Amino acid sequence: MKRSIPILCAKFPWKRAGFTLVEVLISSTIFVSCLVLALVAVNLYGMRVYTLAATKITATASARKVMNQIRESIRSASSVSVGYYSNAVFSPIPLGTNQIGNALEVIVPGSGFTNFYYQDATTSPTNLWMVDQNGNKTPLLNYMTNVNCFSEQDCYGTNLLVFKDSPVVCVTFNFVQWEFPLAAVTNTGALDAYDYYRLQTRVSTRN
Amino acid sequence: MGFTLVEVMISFLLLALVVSGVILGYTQANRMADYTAMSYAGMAKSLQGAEAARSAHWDPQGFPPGTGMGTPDELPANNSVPLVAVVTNIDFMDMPTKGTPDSTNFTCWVTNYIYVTTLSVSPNMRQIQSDAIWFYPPTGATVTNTTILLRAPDE
Repeated sequence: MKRSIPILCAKFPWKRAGFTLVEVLISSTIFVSCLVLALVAVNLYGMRVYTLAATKITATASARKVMNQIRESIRSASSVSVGYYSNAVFSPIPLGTNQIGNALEVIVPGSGFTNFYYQDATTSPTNLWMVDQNGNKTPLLNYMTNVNCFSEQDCYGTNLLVFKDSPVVCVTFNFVQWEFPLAAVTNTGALDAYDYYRLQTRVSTRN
Repeated sequence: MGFTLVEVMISFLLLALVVSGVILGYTQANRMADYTAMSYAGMAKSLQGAEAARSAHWDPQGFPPGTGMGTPDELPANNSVPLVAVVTNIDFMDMPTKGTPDSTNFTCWVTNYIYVTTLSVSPNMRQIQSDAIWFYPPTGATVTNTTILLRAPDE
């Protein structure tokens, strides 16, 4: 009569009932396959997130660089003024109206030179330009969506209507960029495919 | 001879622990990236508030004396304990957002409190403290970015 396994195990403890190597190998193979698939999926997800973050950082990097340049210009200026720039002519905002405009006039101390930063919605893709004292234009930013990106404010954050000795210059850049690589064009008119960015800074003209 | 069910289960458990650690590492890295972006935006807002407060006109010798816009002391100190904000602004954080830019698209808001206190009377010196307070959704924590400046009068 063939002995049953429990009796065999009781008599020979080292011959315990258990999974054979083949069984364990098969189950391990299935488990490891699932594991590898999961790890690959997680890795791919990580790469997509990395690419997305890199895209966003790249999108804002140039804008931050320009913002730094403008901030340093304002800090070192002897005088600044917000207005409109059109056809190579700068027009200050009249007193009594909100000091918001598409251009910033920066007077370089000591030299009397004047630089202008202005937003031009008619030029594509570059919208933000700098004009130096010789009239040379330098492109600064692309794909901006807000025209009036410069304003003068008081210490409470209210837009100024009148001249103030030491205003706060508020610089705001709005722009959109395709959300690579996760963009999905949907029924909402492809708006889901784009990210909206805003960069803002306030600079006091006080030294 | 073979492996018992308990042995196999324990080995799988150990493996699952290792894998969950790897996945947790990924999610934690993402959370920290989110937190860093929000903290950066909060710090930017805090600096903006400090910069605005720094621009206030303050001339203790000015005549006629007074406080408020157009007076020699545009942003007067408030030395109350606990501190009372002299300026409060609520704005959305400068973070990439989907869709068109309107208030319904922004879920990350920041409140900027500006405190101005007298640090010294002779010589005149004030402290400007700008707190940007925001909410970090994954942990439910309220986070504050603070900028502190000292300023002297305009005279």
